[in-house]
Amino acid sequence: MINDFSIIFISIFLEAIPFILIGLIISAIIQVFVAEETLQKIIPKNLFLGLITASLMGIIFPVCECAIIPIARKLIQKGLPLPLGITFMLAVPIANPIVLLSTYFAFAGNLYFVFYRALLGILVSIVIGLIVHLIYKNSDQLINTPVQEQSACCHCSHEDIASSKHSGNFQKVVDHIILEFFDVGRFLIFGALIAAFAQVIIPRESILIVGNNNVLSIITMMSTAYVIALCSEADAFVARAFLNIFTNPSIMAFLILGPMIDVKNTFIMLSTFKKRFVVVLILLIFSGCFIATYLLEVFKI
Amino acid sequence: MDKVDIKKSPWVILIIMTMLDIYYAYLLLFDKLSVFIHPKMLIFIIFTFIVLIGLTIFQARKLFIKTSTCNNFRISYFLLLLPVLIGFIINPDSFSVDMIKNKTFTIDKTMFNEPVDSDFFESK
Repeated sequence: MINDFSIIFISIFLEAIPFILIGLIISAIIQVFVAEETLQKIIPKNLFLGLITASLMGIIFPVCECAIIPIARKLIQKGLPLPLGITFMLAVPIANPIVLLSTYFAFAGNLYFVFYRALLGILVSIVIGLIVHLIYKNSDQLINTPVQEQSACCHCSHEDIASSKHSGNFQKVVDHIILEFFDVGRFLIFGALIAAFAQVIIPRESILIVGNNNVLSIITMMSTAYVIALCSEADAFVARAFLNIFTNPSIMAFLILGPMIDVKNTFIMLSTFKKRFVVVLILLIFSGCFIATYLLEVFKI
Repeated sequence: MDKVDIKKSPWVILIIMTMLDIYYAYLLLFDKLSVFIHPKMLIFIIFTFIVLIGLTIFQARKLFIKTSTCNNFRISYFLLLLPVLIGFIINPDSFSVDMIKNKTFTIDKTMFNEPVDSDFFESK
């Protein structure tokens, strides 16, 4: 059991780290090179237009859920309104060409899963963005990170501050990547530990028992997606293994919930947003995914 | 002798990063990756290794030059050593059929630590 636990834990770590690094590199470049004024010029002033634009950003920003949280955090810090940042964070790991192409190949060209994955992913993200707007408006829900604390001067000597004016942008980018790598990495470890533990102690047979129940199968597949914490670029291949065992809407629930939230991303979110906000967001994601996929079941789509 | 404050010392971050580099080098050089991830992920692991080496070199520079940033180190950053410690101490090299059923990924059958029917692979 320890051997299996170790393999699953290390495999989750190894799978996630490259994408987290990509996200951190992009977020550090945004931090250093993108001015707040530039971002404010690009964002549509109309909320609905802004939410739709944010949900479609995956087309030009094809990153998976491992990389998206640091990028979303940086964009919100740079002035992107909170609801738009949340919609961006939830939609991009689903509605992007790489993920949809992997879904297409995983389901052997079955466009049902490709089309509804993108559609439901975008719709749920926009609705959650709207609800976040209604509850939180554009209030500050980010928590201070070491990088922020540092920029506000933590314990640096005055000599350091003076020399900072002369340090190059490249050095700043690298410093941001290192500090955020450590900050995000520790939460990834927490998440990977829990995911590995759950996968070792819960036998797959116990999950398969509920496959034919409409409601229970959706809940089970959402819970499975949350616990096994797969990258959105690879989860379609795992979802295919459940085909003909679970209902199509429940597989859809697996495909849209996994990229939005899983156990490792929960911990990364806790390092980014306030605890209460993360709890509300997780409840909204679970409710949104459940309602969307249950409607597929009700209308026999 | 002055007491070393690890919260401000670039040494601690450098040591953790070097340990990660060594583990990635070990996985790549001794072909251990197939136990953990799909071979198609190899390119991403090489990318990670190169980026980590680059970051380690930049962190090492902080030992010799004054930089704009201090290392606001937190004790929980040591958690990043956990995969390295587990990887080297437990050194997992094979897995059970039960685990594959749970994880639902396909992998080379020679990595199993017990005999597996060919039907098992066909059903995947």
